Amino acid sequence: MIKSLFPQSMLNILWLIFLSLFLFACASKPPSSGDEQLAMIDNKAITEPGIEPGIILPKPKEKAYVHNAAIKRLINRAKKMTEQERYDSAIQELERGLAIAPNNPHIWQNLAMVRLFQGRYLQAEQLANKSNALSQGDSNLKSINRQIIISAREEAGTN
Amino acid sequence: MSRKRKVQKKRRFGIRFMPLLSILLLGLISLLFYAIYLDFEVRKKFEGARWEVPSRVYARPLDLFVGKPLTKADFILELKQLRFKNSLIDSPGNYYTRSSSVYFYSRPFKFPEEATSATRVRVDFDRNIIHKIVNLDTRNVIDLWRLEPVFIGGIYPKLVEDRVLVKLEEVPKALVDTLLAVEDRKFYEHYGVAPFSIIRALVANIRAGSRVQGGSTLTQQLVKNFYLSSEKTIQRKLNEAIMALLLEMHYTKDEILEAYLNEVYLGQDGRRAIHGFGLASQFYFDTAIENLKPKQIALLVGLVKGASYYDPRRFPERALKRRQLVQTLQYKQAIISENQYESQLKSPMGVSKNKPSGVSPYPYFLDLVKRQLIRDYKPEDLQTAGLRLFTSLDPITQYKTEKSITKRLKILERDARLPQNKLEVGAIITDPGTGLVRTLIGGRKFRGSGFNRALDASRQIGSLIKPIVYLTALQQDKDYRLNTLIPDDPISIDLETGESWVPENYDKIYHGDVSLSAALASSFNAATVRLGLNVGLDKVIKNAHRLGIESDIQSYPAVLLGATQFSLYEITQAYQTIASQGFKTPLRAINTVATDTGEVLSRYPLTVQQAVNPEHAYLILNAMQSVMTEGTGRKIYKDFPSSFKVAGKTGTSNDYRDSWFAGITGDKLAIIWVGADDNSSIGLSGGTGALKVWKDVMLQTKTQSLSLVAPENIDFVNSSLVMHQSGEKVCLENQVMPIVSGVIPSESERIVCTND
Repeated sequence: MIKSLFPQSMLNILWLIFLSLFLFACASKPPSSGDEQLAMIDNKAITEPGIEPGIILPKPKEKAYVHNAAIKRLINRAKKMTEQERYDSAIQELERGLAIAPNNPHIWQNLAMVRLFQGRYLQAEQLANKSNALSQGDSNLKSINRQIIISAREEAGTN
Repeated sequence: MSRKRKVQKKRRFGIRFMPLLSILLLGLISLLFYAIYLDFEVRKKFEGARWEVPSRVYARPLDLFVGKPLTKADFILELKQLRFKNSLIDSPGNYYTRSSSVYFYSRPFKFPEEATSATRVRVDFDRNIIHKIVNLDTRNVIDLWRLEPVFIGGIYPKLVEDRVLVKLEEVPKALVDTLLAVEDRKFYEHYGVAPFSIIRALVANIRAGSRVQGGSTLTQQLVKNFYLSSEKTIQRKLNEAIMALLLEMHYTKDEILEAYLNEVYLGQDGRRAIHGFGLASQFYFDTAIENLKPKQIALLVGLVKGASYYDPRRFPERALKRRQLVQTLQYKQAIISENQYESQLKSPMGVSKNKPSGVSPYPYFLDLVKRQLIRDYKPEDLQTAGLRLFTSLDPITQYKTEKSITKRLKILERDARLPQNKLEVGAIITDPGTGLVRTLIGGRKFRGSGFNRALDASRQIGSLIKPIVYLTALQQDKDYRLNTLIPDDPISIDLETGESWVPENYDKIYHGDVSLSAALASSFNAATVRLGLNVGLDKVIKNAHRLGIESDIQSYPAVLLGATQFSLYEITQAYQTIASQGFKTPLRAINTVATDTGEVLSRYPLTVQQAVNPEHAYLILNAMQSVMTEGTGRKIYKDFPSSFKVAGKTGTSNDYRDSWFAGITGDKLAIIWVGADDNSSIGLSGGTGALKVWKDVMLQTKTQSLSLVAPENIDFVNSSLVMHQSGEKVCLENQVMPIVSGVIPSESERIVCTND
C-alpha cells in the first residue's frame, strides 16, 4: 500500500534517512540505566562485535546487596524507635544492620533520616550522600536522599 | 567527828578523785569523738562506691541470621569462648551438635535497651552458611538472634582486683547456711561483736591445741577486709570492734551479709586478687554461683579461714581435709543429708584446670578501648564505676589471626634465615563499611601488654603510600585515567643538600610507557615519582591528611615512595576512607558504654565525612585489584580461586626493614606489618612477608570476595591497557575499564595495541 502511495525514489530516500537515523542512534547510544543485562564472565562484559573503544558499555550487573528478613526487621525497629524519639537506639539498630549488610543503601538512608530528626544536619547530608554512592541508580532511593539533603540544608540554614 | 570535819573529809575525798574523774570524762568524750569519726568513715566507705568494681568489657555480640556466612565450627568456637558446655541442653550455657545442627540453651543477657531471655535454640548450617534458626521452646522460626557477648576483660584499678557482684537472693541458701555455720553461727543475733563467741573460741582453741574457731563475727571480718590492714594490734582490734558495732547500727544484717559475700578474700591469681564468692566459684569451678554443689560450697567456705594456705591447686591435701571438716559441719547442721554427706565426703574436689583469666586475653585491643574512652571519661571513672563496655572486637577473627600469625612468623624466620623471635608484627582488621575494629594485634606475644605496635610503632610505609599518589592523579580525571600511559623512565631530582636522588625500581629496570594502573600494580618507583611530581606533591600530602593521616608529612619527593613514618593505625584509617567509597569513617573500638544497671552513658555512633569523591575511590580500588591480579600481589592466586576479588597493596621500605600489606575484601579491611623492633633489615618485601601473613588470615577466616559498587557517575568503556605480566610488557585489548562519566577518551587518546 505504501508502495502504491509513494514513488520508488521517495521510498529510497525514506529508507536512507531511516538507516542514517538508526546508525546515528547506535553510534551515540546514551548511557544505559543499567537495565540491560549482558552475560557476565568475571564481571567483564562480553563485548558485542562492533563496539569501538571509547563507547560506553552497559554497566556490569552488580551483586545485589543483602536485604533479608533480618535487615527488614532491624530497619522496622529503627523506624519505631525514631517515632518514639529514641534516636540513639534507632541508630544502634541500624548499625547492627550495617554489620550484616554494609552496602545496603536503605540502611544508610535510614541513618540519614534519623540524623535529620535529631537535628544533626551535617551528618544527615553526608549519610544521604553515602546512600547515593551505593544506590546503583535506584531512582526512588536517590529521590528520597535528595529530599533529605534539601531538608538538612534548609534546616541548617545553609540554603 | 564534827560536822565540819565530815564535810572537809568529803571535800578532800572529792578533790582527790577529781583528777581521776576528769580524766575519765575526757577519755569518754574523746572516745565519743573518735566514734563519730569512725562512724563517718564506716558510712562513707559502705555507701556510694562500696568497693572498686572494674568496668567489664565485652566483644561484639554474635548476630545469627539466615544466610549469614558462618561455619558450624566457628559457631562452636564462639560458644566455647562463652564457656558453654557440651552437654544436654537442660540448663542455660549448654550446647550439643547433631549432624549439621547446633542445639544450645542461651543464657539471659541484659543488653543496653534490651534483655534477652534464656531460650533453647537450634541452628542449622548448610555448608558455610546459616540455613535456619528455630526457637525450640515456641517452635517458631527466627530471622535474627543475638547471642550474649564474650567477656573479654576488665579495666581494673591499680590494685588489680576483680569482682563478680552477687545479690543475696542469687546466693544459694546452702552457701549462706554453711558460711554462718562455720564462721558466725549467731550472726543474726549479735550486735557486731560477740564476746561470748570470743570466749567460746578461746576455749575450743585451747582444747584443740590449735586455732579451730575464730572469734570474729562476719561483721568484724568484713570491717577487717574493708577498712583495716592486717596488723594484729590491740588498737586495731578495738577499732574493728567499734566499727563493727557502728556498721550493725547503720545497716541491716542482710546488707552486711551481702557485702561480706562479695568482699571476702578467697584466692590469688598472679597479681589478681579473687574477692567474693561470685568470682571464686568461676575461678575454682568454672561455674556460676547459683550452680554450686554442696561439696563445692564446702571447699569455698573453707577457704575463708586462709585462702592461700588452703589453696586447692597448690595444697590439695590440706584443702581436702579442710573441706571435709566443713562438710561434717554441714551434716551436723542439717544443711546436707546423711546420704549426701557419705557420698560426697571422699569425692574429688573437682577444681577446674583452667583458671579463667580475668586479665584480658586481648590487652592490645583493650589498650585501644581505653584510649578511645579517655576522650570521654576521667580515668578514675573508668576504673571504679562498674561500667559495661560493648566493643567491636570479633573474638573469632582475633583468635584465627593470632593462630595464623604464630605459625607464619616461624616459617618466615626460617625461610629468611632470621633468628627465632626476631620478627615482630602488627595487624588491624576492620569492617570496610563502618570502621569497626574487629581485630587488633600489637605484637607477637598476644597476651603481653607492652609496646603496642599497632598503635604506637611509627614505621616507614614504603609503597603503601602509592594508592594515595595515584588517587590524586585520578582525581584530575580529565588528564588521568586507569589506562593513561605514564612514563616509567629515569628521573633525577636535585635535593637541597646538593645531591641528586634517582629513584630506582626494584628490578633496576625502567619500563617506559605503561598504563597508570599497571604502574601501581607493579609498584614502579620511577613512574610513581614522576606522576606524583606532575600532579603536585602538596596535593598528594593534602589527600593523605584528608583520608585520615594526622601526622605531619614533610614535603619531600621521597614521601611519594613512602619514606615517611606512620603508625599502622593511621594508615588503616586512610585505607578505611578509600574502602568506604571515599567517606572518612573513623575507626571505632567501642559501640556503647552503659552502667551496670543498664543505663546508657554514651554511644559511639557511626559518623561519615566525604573526603574524596566516590568515583575516584572506585577507580583507585579498581587499580588496586590489578595489584592482585597482575601485580605484586598475584601470588595469592595460588591459594585463592581466580574469581576471588581483592583490592590490595604491598609495601616495602628502604633496605627491607618493613614489610606491609593492605588488603580489602568483601568483609574485611586488613593491614599487616612485619618488621624488627630494632629497625634492622629483615630481608622480606611486602610480597614475601606481610602478604603471606594476610593470605593465611584471610583463608582461615573464609573472607568474602570484594564486590565493588560502581557509583552513578562511573561508566565502563572497552579499552586497551599496557600492563606488565610475568615480567613482560604486554598490551591487552578489550579490557573493560571504568571511567568517570563525561570523560570519554577522544579518538586521539585511544590506545591501540600494535605488534612491535
